[in-house]
Amino acid sequence: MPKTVLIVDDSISIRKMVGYTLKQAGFTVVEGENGQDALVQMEAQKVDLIVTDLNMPVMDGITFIREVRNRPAAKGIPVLMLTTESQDSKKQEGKAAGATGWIVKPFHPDKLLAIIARVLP
Amino acid sequence: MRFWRSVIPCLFRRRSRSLAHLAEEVAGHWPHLPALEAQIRETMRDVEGSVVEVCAGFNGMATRARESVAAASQLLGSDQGSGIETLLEASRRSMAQLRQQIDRGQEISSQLMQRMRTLESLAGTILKALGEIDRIALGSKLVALNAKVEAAHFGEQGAAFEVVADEIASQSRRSEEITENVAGEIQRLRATVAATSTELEEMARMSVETLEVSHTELEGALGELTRTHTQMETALAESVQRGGQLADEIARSIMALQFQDRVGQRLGHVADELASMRKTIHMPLEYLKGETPVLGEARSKEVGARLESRYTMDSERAAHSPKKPAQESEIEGVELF
Repeated sequence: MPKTVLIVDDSISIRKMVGYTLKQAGFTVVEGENGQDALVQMEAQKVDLIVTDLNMPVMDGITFIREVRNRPAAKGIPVLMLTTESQDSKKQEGKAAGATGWIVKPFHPDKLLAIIARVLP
Repeated sequence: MRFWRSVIPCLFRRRSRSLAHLAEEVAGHWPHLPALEAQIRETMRDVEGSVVEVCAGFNGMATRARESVAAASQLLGSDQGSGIETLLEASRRSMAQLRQQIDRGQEISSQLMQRMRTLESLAGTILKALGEIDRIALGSKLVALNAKVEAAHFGEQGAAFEVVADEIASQSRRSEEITENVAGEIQRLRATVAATSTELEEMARMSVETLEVSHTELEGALGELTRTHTQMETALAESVQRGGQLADEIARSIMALQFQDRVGQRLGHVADELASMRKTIHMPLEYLKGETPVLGEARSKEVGARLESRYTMDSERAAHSPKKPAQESEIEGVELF
């Protein structure tokens, strides 16, 4: 049974490029254009991993992760930040919110898949 | 008149406050324009660089696809005189030669058997002749016996004739001995011919059987190889077709990527206009700052803070604070918590 990855980013091109990379590796992909949209997607289907941007309208990535960690059913889901932001203060904020890892854009498809392989149970 | 004396100064004061506010805003925003202009130009360069890389990637993809098809084509021997096609053709010729050898072998075998039968027949004929010679010898012996009897009737006058009769009898006995020896040799020859004939027949049958088995196996292998070759040619044709589809998709992508040229031109025009605006505003602003040195300082800090709060990349922050270098990301930009 293929694992399902939720990709959250307000940039459609990023969602498509990450989606393409993951589908080639055999994952099922669902998309959200911001944190709030992503929470709706999580109500509709089981998700095994989340890859989310930081800076998004409506609900940003940090707020989204906090919401995810507040839900008992989603507590154990690995959450990777995929963002242009590389400041330490932002990384610490993400870690405190409950992020599993931090990837700075642009991402290399092979390295993204390698880090996913490490965090997925 | 008194009304206007009170209103006009008020209007002048209001206008002065508005102009002062405007000057403060302009002076506050103006210092940040060069950095914004620089970011626009840097964005243009980034986009152009990325598009160039993508096109190089497409070129590589198309080249690899062409090379794969060419290599497979050469291996299969779709080009004349090379590869698997040539090997198959050579194998078919060898099979035909093997078939000819099998047929020739059968032919020789038949000829050998025929010659053995001829030998057998000749041996039989010789034995018959020997039988005749025996009968003649017997006849001679009888004649010699009669001659001795007649010679005895003639007494001494028949003595010489008796000698002749004795000699004839002796020759007849000698003839009988010889024919007996020859017959024995002929019998042994017949036995040898029969044994050789049997062995030759068995050897010929085994050779033909072995060759037939080899031929059948080779024919099966050749058939399998031919089928595999046909499948590979089909796969190659499909690869060529997919290569064509890849080329079409790359062409469409190249068309789409040409957005970069339009975007680059627009961004360039905007950046150039910003530069012109800066130059236009510079002189009157310098004049105003000459009269009010702190003009716009507080507002500039507010604008700077607002920009800083918007930025999401170190490269943006570095454009506005050249003294503050961009922070280096973790190695490979990945960190697990």
